[in-house]
Amino acid sequence: MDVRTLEALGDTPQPLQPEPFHRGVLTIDAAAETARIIEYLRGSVLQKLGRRGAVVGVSGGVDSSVTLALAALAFGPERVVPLLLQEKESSPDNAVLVRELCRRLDLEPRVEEITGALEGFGCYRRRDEAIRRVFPEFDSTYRAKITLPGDLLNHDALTLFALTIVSPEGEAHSRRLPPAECREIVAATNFKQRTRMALLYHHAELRHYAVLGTANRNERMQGFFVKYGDGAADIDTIVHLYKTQVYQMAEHLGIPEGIQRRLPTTDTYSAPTTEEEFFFRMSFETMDLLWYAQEHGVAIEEAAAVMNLAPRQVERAYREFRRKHRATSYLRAPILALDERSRGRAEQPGWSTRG
Amino acid sequence: MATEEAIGPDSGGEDITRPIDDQIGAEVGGRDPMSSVAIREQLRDYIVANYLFGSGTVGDDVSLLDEGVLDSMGVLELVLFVEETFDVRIAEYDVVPENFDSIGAIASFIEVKWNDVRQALAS
Repeated sequence: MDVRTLEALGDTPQPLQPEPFHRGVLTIDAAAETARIIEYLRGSVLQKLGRRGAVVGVSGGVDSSVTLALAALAFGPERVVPLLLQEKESSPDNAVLVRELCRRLDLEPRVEEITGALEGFGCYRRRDEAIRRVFPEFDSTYRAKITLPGDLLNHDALTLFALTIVSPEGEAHSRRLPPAECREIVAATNFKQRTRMALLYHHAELRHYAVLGTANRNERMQGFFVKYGDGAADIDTIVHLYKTQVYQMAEHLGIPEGIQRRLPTTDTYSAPTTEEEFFFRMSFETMDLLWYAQEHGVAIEEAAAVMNLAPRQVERAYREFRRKHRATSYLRAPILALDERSRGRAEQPGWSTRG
Repeated sequence: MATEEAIGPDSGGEDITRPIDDQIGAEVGGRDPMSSVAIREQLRDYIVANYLFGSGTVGDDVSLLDEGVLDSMGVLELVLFVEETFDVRIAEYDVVPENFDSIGAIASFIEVKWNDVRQALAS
């Protein structure tokens, strides 16, 4: 379900009230925000959607951990299923951190191994064939990842995907990705998120539960998700929160320190890849404030003065945000229909909504 | 330590005994060296055909990025097109808005690259 559909349902948590721009503008009352989200989850899942609990895909990252903790508070541990979806390239840290989190929340994680499903889709084979067209020496002893030029604030480099492989000896080689190979690697890798989504809904249907999404505001607005993969959910639990606000929530909710300190990663590629190098190209602290400033119409000069940046740097960030948001609008778009009225008929009185 | 390598047409083994403009002309399809106008028209044809469904046009100074003509995949495709069509090697540091944000900018970038080749061959 996308953001617009959710907004049509009403009561979606809205961004916090704007105030004059300053470095602490994204500081929240985490206790009050927790109460607000719990009330929203109960109203949405139990009343609007008519489900009896929630399934949350957990990775050992801070977003899914905060979502899980909020779900446990909203529905009670007996009505929440944490689902860890592992494959052969997942970090072993994921399971360790998820188990620690679940112990703290009095939850029992369910673990599903999805390597076989991904092999069935040809996820690894299709991706590796494309990688070998760029690096013929690539084999199963190598690891690989896609990266972007870093340091967005100080360089005007356009979004130019590079492929990096790491040899068994730890030697890294990077090359610009040709478009065909880039598309093939991304399309093959997206089987991971879509396979996870299929299992989340499987477990939700087993129990008549809803699937809670774990995306934060940065990910959704900049298109850092897979359509009908990790972008698919019944409720976007924390999509109104900036990443730095998610960390504030994590601290308030007592999320294990190992998760709070963990560098956010994509957990998608075989070589470790941070979200910063794969997508965002600047620190979350800087990005959140600049994104807020742009969303709220803060002048470049004002934002630069508050953040101790040069106006040129702020201008560069604003421009990149606008481009990225527009370029990824396809991901956030609802399913289009020639006659939009036909979409709403199932929700009108007299029409069954049961599938 | 990571190594950065630009992917581009192999420029090794070229015949440096030919007149420089002939070499450049031959490398862009065996024609005479292209004029600035011809470069722009070839770029425009490619962009209209591939990103505008073959209809409409794009002015020389229109921002391809700000107007949403190019997304990140489009940038990759356009860079490859420029390399293959105009036989220039493009490094990561070349792919900046100053060089790729408009048809005029790309054409100027290509001409600068060709001039670099001319100077290198002449020296």
